[in-house]
Amino acid sequence: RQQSSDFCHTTFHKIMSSKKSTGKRKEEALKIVESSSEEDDSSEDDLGQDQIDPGDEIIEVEFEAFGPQEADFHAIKTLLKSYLEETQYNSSELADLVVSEGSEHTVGSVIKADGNEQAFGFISAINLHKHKDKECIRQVRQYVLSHLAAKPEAREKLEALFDTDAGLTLLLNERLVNVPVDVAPPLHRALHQELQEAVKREGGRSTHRASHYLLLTSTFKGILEAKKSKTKKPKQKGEKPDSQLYYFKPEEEIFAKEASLSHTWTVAAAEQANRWTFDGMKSHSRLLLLVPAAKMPSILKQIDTLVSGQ
Amino acid sequence: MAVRVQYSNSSEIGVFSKLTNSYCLLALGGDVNFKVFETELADHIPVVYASVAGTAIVGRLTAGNKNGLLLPNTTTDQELLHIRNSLPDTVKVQRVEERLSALGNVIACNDYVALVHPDLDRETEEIIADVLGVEVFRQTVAGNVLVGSYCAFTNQGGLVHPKTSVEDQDELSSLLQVPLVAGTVNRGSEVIGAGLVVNDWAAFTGLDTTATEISVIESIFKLQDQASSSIITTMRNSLIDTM
Repeated sequence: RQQSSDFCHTTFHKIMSSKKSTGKRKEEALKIVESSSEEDDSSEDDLGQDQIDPGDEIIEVEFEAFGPQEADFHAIKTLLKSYLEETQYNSSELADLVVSEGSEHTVGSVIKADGNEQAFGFISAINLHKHKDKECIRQVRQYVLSHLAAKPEAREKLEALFDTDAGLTLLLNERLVNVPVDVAPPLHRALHQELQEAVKREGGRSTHRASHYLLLTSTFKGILEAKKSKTKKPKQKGEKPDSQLYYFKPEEEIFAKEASLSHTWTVAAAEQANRWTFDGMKSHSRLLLLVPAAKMPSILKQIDTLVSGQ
Repeated sequence: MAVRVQYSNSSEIGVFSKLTNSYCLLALGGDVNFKVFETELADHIPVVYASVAGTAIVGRLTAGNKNGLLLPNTTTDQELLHIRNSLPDTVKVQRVEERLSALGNVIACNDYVALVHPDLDRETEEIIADVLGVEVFRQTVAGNVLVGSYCAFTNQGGLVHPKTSVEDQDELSSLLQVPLVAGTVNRGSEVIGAGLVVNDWAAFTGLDTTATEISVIESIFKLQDQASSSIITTMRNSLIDTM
């Protein structure tokens, strides 16, 4: 089925710069972990690598957004694999929901690059009340509420939102770690627009009307890279290096700011042992955010600034 | 009987397990879901939990049949010892020095024949013939050199990559002396080796496998009527002897 809606098809370029031989890096949030392994400039030069021009090497990648189709099922499922950390849950069902929201309601997008068939990321919104009887939704509810055990008030509030037709919407925003943050503004804006369109189409009792967005995401604490610290926070060698919190998807920091409820917990140690660790990446944490839908326009504006300001 | 299984939310169970007629190798850390293997198999063959080269991808790194098991050169001595001790003495366990170390991807075999990556070392080919007791053929499946990933076959039948041409299927079928069918597992995935592990009387496939795919698997591997197929297998040896 060919994509028809204009909102779901946006093309944007990202100039990605990567430096070889000199070790300097453009300061992008996502690149922090890579550059921390290049602290020593002299060792870079000694490698005697292909000494091309010591300027930026620019790789041009074209990302395109499409509506989720059945063909994207496997990629979406893979991206949702660790959604509930190590808890086994019906990820196929959740991936199915993303695909059906895309194909039936034109809500949601997948990101593909350079004509590649496999999706590198996706965004979608699932109404939790409409699908409350689905196994995966029950598992998500169980997981979320169990982690809020230490905050009974928050837990009650969230439980009420889950159990009533209050417009609690699960915001699924997953992509590969190294997809640049530039994809974020069009994705989030498109989703917001698609939801408005769906509400207009369905009228009064639309299930796409969101009152709150539930966002489950990951953060990590990293060692501040030497160069970055000179410009922002000067760090001495003796100081604790792990105080900076980073988001795998930088736009989510804005969601965190506007959230009415936020809760974080460290990912279980057993799971961490199995993961690839970047140099300098320490405690990987899960973050739960509840964001009122009314804040979305402001959030979208801030995401735009975040990316254009870089 | 084909059973649907998951490993840690992944349907690619062929990556984390290796099943033969005389043993089953499973990755550690699979949680409750992998116990299905034990319940189905433990009465008949040893089910061994192991890691290879410190990883969980035992299905893709190892190759074996009822006669033996081949491990890559990245296997640690501890792992080798553990596996050797856990498997019956009739199963020869050998570590192989081979550049193409993902043995599960480059070798596909049953108890009589093996298909290997065309670029496999001569030495490795000899070791395969010796340890696994099979005849070795260098082949591609649907133009792909990773024979272990794109096909799975037992002594009863085989499933190959969906894009395998009819001529190729005929050729492979005559080499392997078993019927073949081209198909998919795990809801349209072409990587048969990752989505399916099978022996002469049991098959395990990923959770996403559709009912159609399961029926194809049960039919080609002759898994419905278990009693009669096992008699045929055991009779085969005695029949050939008397000829």
